[in-house]
Amino acid sequence: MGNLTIYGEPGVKVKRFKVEVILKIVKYAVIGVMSTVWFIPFIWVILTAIRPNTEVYNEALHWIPQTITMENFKAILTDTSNPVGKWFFNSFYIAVLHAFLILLVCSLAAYAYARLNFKGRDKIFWFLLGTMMIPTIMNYIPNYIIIDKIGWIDKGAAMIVPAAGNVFGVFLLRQFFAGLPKELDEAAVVDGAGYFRIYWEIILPLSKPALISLAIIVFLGNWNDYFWPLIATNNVSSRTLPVGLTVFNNRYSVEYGTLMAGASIAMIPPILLLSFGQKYFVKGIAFSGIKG
Amino acid sequence: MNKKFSIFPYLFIAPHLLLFTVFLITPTITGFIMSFFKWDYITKPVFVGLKNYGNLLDSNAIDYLKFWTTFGNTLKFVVITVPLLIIISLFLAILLNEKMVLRNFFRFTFYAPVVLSVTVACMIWRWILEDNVGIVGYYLNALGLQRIHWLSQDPYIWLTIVIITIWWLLGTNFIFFMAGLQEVPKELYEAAEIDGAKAWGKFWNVTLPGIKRTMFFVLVTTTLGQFNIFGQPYILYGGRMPDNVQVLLNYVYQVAFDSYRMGSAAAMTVIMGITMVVISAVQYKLMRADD
Repeated sequence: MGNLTIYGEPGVKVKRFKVEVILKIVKYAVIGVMSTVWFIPFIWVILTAIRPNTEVYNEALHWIPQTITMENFKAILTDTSNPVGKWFFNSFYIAVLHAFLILLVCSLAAYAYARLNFKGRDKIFWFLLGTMMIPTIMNYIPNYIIIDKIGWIDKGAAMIVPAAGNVFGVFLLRQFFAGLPKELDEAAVVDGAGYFRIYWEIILPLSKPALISLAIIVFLGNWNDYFWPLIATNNVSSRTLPVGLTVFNNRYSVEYGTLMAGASIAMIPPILLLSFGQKYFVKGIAFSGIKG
Repeated sequence: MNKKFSIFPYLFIAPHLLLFTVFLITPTITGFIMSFFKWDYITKPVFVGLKNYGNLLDSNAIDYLKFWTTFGNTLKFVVITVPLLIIISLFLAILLNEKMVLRNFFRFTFYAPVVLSVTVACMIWRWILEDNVGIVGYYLNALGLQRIHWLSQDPYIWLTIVIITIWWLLGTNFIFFMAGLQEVPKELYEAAEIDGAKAWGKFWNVTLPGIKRTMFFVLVTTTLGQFNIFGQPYILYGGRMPDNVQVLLNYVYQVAFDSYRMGSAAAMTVIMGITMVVISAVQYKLMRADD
């Protein structure tokens, strides 16, 4: 930028320079303010959770807590009618198993769609893609009936298994697998490797970035899912964290310190995952936008 | 690869196809079929033809008023949040597209809320907007303004839900646009600059056409996503939801799992699903119209 005016009148150059500086300041100001608005809630949750309730309700606003305490965390983790610890555990094992199941099922299918020749391959794949247009909203009630018939109400399986049939994972991995050089398979075939060995020993290790992206997106989606776990669970002890916290939210409607301790606990895994896996998360999301 | 028939490829796709069939295709078909039945989930379903749909058009039927009010609320929510979710995220993505100090931190702040659950997003904002000691109220007071009853006073009830939603979900579109902007060739900007284009001209003639595909994708996915609004009113108000923020899915949930009128609930989701498909199709037509 600006190269073209270099040989212009000196006065013009200075003016233009000034305009650019002002624009830059405005830009930083706008982003700074927006970014603060977006980020402050996180800080405020933590700062509320670690102070005593008396201080939470202080009319005067103190950003820095005068006393730091873990009493809110203790209160929620020992509350027997709202087993936040159990909900956390449920959410965690369900999201982990769900992510593993999706990786396995979708990568197997994606491998076949991307690297093997078989009759009906493209037809089936296009049909799968076409069904991505169907609004999933119509599926919730029938799926409730299906898992009720199987006997999965209040079972982790209800939240682990059904969504593993989704098409997004197959699509994402298929695109990635299809981009790997064909010679790899051919060389392996010459060595006498079967399909499964090629899939397991060549394709999967080379596809780590795509697998990690998918795992993160799927874990987060499952960890945060709300409508389905609400339908699929009735027992307090079978709830996942987002659903359990709703009741908790109503019960502690006046104890914000305790509520924010609950919110902090629910925030930890996703925020950690985002901090360490940011690159993969962003790439995975962006992928669906570019190829979509 | 060899030409002769092999069962192996099918074994690879079988587990996924099985789950796909049982939990994605079967439910869709079952949903359609259920919508023609009256079913309380205990006794045998009774075929009633189009009656469940007819009830939604008959002003004397019990579902009529609630269905249209909540459907209207969902539409209102979509119409308000979708443009905001697109315009603000595109604006931020363009500002953060160039190299700048703290760029990665700024980006992180915008997509951090996306990884939270709707429950946590609602809990956080309920506290921030709290009537007596919430920080927003505190600063409004400090500026000499009245405290606002965000959760109990019109039109702020709506505004609260919109604010939470924008804060929570903006990051997804932000990521889409960041990726989309990378695809716009830099030379086009340089060419536009030589032609004397100002910022607005560059945006209108280079950026927008360059990210058209992304824009279409974002428009469709955001619209479809926002149609599914359920959690925000449900979590903020529990069973005491004010009528004007109760959305269609809240009502469907109530019909299906409180009163166990499965057929009526299924019919409502079918109407909702068809509306969503039609709107996507219209968006598709409009976006392709000037190609």
